[in-house]
Amino acid sequence: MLWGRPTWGVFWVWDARLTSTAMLLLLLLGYLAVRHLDADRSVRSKRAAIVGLLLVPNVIIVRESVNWWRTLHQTATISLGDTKLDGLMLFSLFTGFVSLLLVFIWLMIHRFRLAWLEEQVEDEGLDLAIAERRAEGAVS
Amino acid sequence: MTLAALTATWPYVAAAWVIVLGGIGVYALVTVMRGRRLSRRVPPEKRRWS
Repeated sequence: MLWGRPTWGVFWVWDARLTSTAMLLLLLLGYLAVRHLDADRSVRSKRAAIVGLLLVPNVIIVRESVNWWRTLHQTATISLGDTKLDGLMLFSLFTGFVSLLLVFIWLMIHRFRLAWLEEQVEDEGLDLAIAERRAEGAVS
Repeated sequence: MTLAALTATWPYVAAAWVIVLGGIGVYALVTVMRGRRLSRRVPPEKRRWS
């Protein structure tokens, strides 16, 4: 959207690539909503995984949207054997791609660590509550 | 690219950099801080990463 303004003169247009990407964003928000539902951990995980699988066709639609529908966005710039990019731009693009991939891996490790800790804290709280109830039962 | 075109474009480029790097930075900071806070609430033997 941000580069749409200097490139096309508008922030938003109902272009195939922009619209399919917006749909993907909405589906991802839906995934996060399902992931945070107030339900049992395993039930929540399964439901979120199903929504996650439903996202896969949309990723393909986003990828192919510029080839399937000829709207404002240009067709694929990079493809095997037919890359329409200047050498320096291609280098910059792949440098950015590799950099963001490394950041993504780092974030993924830390997000996994966080989810692990959340489960541990949840289990600790449950263990503590059970122990307290047992102690109450022993007193009475 | 002419100077006029460059002048008209750079605010968008700068805004994109700020939004992307700022967003990732804030998310990373929140994740690490929350991880540290939660680490203190579990026994040391259960901490996989310290």
